[in-house]
Amino acid sequence: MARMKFLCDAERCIECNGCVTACKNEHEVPWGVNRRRVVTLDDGVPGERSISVACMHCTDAPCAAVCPVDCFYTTDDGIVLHDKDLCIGCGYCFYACPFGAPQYPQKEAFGVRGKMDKCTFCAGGPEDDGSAAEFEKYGRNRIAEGKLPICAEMCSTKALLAGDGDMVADIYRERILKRSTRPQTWGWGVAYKADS
Amino acid sequence: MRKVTLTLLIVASMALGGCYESTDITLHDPGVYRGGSDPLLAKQASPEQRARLGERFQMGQTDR
Amino acid sequence: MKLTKKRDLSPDGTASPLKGILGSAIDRRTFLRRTGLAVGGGAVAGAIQPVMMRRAEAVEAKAAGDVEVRKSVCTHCSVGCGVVAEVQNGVWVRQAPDFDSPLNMGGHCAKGASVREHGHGERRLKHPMKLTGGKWKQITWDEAIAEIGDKVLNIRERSGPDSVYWLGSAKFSNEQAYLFRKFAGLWGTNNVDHQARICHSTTVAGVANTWGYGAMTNSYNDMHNSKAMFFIGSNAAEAHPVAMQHILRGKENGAKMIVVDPRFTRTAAHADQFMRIRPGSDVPLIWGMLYHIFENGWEDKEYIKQRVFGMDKIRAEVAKWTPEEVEKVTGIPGSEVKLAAQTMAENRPGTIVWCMGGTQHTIGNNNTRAYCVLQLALGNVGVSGGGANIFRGHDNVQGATDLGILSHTLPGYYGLAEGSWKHFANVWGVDFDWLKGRFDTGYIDTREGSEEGIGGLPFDNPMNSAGIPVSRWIDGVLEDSRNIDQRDNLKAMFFWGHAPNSQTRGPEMKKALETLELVVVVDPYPTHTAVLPDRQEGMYLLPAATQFETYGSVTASNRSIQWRDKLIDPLFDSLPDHTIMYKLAKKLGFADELCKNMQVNNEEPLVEDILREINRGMWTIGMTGQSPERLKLHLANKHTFNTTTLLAEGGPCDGDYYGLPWPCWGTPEMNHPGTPLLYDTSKSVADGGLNFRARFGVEYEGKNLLAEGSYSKGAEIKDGYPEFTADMLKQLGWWKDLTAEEQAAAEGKNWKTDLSGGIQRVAIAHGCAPYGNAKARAIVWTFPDPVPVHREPLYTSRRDLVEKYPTYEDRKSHYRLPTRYKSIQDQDKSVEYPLILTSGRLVEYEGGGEETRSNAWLAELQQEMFAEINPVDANNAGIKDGQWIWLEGAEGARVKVHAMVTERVGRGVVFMPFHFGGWYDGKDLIDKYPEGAAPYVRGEAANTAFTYGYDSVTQMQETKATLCKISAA
Repeated sequence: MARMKFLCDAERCIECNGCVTACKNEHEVPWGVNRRRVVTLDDGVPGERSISVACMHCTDAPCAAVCPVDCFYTTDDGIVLHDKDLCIGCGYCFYACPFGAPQYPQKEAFGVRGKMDKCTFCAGGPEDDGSAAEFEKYGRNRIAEGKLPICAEMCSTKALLAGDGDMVADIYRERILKRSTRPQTWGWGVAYKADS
Repeated sequence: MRKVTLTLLIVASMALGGCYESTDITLHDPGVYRGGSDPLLAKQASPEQRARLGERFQMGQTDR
Repeated sequence: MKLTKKRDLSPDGTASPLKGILGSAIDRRTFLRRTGLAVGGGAVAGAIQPVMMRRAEAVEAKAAGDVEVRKSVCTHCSVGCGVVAEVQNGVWVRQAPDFDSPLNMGGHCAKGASVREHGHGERRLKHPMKLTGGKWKQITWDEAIAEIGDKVLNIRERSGPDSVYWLGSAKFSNEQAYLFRKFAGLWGTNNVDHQARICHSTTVAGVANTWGYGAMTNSYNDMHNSKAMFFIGSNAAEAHPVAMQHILRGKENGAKMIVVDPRFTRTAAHADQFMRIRPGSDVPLIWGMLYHIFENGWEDKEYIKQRVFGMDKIRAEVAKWTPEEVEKVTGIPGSEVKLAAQTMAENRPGTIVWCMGGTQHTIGNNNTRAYCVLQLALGNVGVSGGGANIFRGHDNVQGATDLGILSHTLPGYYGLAEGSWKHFANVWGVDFDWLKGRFDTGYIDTREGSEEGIGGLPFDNPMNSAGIPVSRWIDGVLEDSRNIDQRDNLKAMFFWGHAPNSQTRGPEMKKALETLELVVVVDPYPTHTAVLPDRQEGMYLLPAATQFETYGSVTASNRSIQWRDKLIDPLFDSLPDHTIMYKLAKKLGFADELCKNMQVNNEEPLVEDILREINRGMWTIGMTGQSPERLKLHLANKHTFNTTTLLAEGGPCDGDYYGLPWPCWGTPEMNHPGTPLLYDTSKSVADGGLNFRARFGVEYEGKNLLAEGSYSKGAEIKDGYPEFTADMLKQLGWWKDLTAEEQAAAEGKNWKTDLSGGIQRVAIAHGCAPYGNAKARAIVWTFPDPVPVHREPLYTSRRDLVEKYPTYEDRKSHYRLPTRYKSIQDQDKSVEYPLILTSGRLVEYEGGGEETRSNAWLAELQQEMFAEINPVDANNAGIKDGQWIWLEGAEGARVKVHAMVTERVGRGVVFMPFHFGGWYDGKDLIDKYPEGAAPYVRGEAANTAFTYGYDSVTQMQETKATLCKISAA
């Protein structure tokens, strides 16, 4: 069984934020909720690098481990999803997540959290695939349509890759060889552990 | 006076005892998922779907 | 959740390096989040509820009809990224990646990935509006056209046609651009211009005068083949993000990447070598590199001998630029300059990329020519992987330039001479004398006999004299009319797709906007124009449709022409630009002449017919072969084109280059494949090969200007030759190759004016380029500085260099206006204003930014206007990161912005992005927008603080090197 993974090639990422607006556009994510964002290190000085970060769909996902209502599930190909009907917006998963992925739309005054929202690898949620209910809660289900995450598919420089981990690794390995640089698989050690 | 000192000592030691921190770490294992079932899971198991996603990857994410 | 007690924290546990990074990285966005974004963002978010609601609506629409897939092209930058829209029941419900496009292969930057917002249009200008008593009032289109038309005709009566200014747009399609230039001509004025004037006019002038055409020679895709890439004044990662796909592929193929910029840009972050240049010292750097190239004999001697004229004069100038002098003027260490020269010499073919960092200077034309000379010396022009890859700005600025929305030329760079007007009178099917009568020919006599007696100004016939350029419209309004080389001042301005915040001298612009009798904005958004002036009356806003609400062709930077489908119907009350042109022409009385060769349906001229007329007239640049039918075929078969060569491999377009990059010679029936690389002699002209153009005569000072021993593959004339004329065909014995019909049409004509295309066809059949075969010229004897030289900016902090490198003398009339140089430079402002001020782009926004700042998905990413300041300068001024500051330009105009303290800028240099607007003098002008049409993000316009200064050839504005001071607000 393939294992779905994200990889951001920092040598190619130019911090254009195409992935960010592609995600907003595809899923109609409201203002203030960022399923994906681009982080720049050493901004403005030599060594500056950017990486696009979202839920990495970890193996043994820490978010799932800390969830008090057990609303997380993982597909056989490693996509970590959750059921918003169960989520109580407690925020534990945010503290557990090594990537800062979980987001909480501000529901009302006094910063009361809404239900957690995060990147679904464009795989929706437990509702019927492609249903209005699924779109309302989780956004589009591209995976069910036979498509891959929009952020990677629209990446301006093909820095962000999303798909079967072996295929992703093949492309990245080829680039590393061409560039004769050291591989820097941002976040893979943390997210995918042994199988990375 | 001695009694007071003693009491203070006892109180202090109890208070400090409250500061004791175990070096053990609490880890969490995921519980059993309690939400609705996702029809995607069955779909993903089909070889046709896997092939589709593979083709899609080749079409969109390689430097063709 | 199960809790389990364990002994240890595993080493690869949850404490990840990324978590640390996310917590500690301070970049542009985290910076802005800290500077009050929480408050401002919240306020904005409150206004954005409809996006949430639309989700439900979109889902309902989904159930309501079949999904139709329609294809367009992104309307932001010039890369030409394909956009795929899924439309249901007329609603643009979804955007898909365009994997088939050989230009972007599905990729988009933040702007391109969010263009579906155009289908929402939340913050659009929704109806025609009229300013009455200082308030916006909704009116009908008929009322608007009638009132505006009457006013304009009245001004024409009193002050002549030159008092109405037609400011067009690089956002037009090719067809709209052409129609707009024709419209101005039929109105009777050359006071027509667009953004190209203030983005790449110095490129077009400098490069065309060097080797023939003023356009990008190769393509983004061709950079896969480069061995070296030299960026100067280009921040592709923010300005042309998808170009970086090709650039980084080139780099992975082994190319060395050098970036020259005053800032350590996001592009520089990917470079092998970065050189921090002092703004405005490009020529010294290039000559400093050539110094090493000549000294070490690295130049391509055979290439220069065969294909370059005047390199000896360059050598003499270059000899003055010793490594010490270069370092003194540019601030770049000698060893760095030498390394760059060596990299370029040892890694050929190499390409040079430049953008507005090089062009927007008083000596912009010198800069662009110096870049060309470097490439000529290295033999890098006309080869794959080499060339001058000049990245244009807006999506159709190449097309709008080609189609002549410029005050100094007609479509196709035909110029303004009588012969050119006659050519177009012929193409348009109008009587030349009638056309001439539309112009204000009467005023010449009036002026010479006038009491004021300021005669001596070389008044030309306004039909043949370059009009006021967009960079100077302010002076066209405010300058004493006796100093202007036309009858009267400008009285009415049409801002037809133009952001005024892209222009300098804010206070004077405000005053000019308040002085005009009539201001008309035709735009999908109200723009900064709507809110800047304090007016009570005399202003109209007309809602134009975006390019996604109409259709037509668009020319990418690499000269590929792409067809856009119409995705959705115009939103609200908006109309396509060409429909508005027709309505207005009808009111003004020349609609029949405007659309003589076009079908008009319900006041909309048929776009395909406009393109066919373009095809009939644009022989100079070979925009004659790209018929609507061929372009539509390319649209349908995008996937068949090779992503490096752009050549179709099989399929219905087999053998064509993608988008038939001009020149695509002859008639569409000739089936020329387009020219992917200009001046590439390794291919025959019929297959897209070329040589340098014979544009400057056949000899100069007794020396041969034609190529020597170099010619395109298969040419029957195996040497240089002049441009083709009917007589030349006869001399060569090729006249008989023309059909009888072609002979009749070609008699007495040349390759540019023969409407049958026969001369071009026969020249190409014999392997020759219709425009001749000459050398490129390293010196341009018709320019103020024949050899490109360095001149200090008008406002310079390096007073020690002014004497040695002074600017020009003031000029009495340049593009109809007095133009000052020395009198400004003579005043030393460097003590009061010690910091250099420069400007540039951000990836989220484009141009004046009204459209992108009105897009919630983009606005969220960049909510505050700011200035980048080096820590040293910030500390000297007592300014802390994130605080409000006043930045005052050297002419006293000030802007209130956030300080972003960063080493991205060097010491002594302050940078501001130029996309903001809607503020003036520290105040948010939100109340002055029509209701519901204010962009989500507003801020001070950087250019408010920028100062006087215009290029000596093109009147390009200087926005890359002036002076300022900063203080805490």
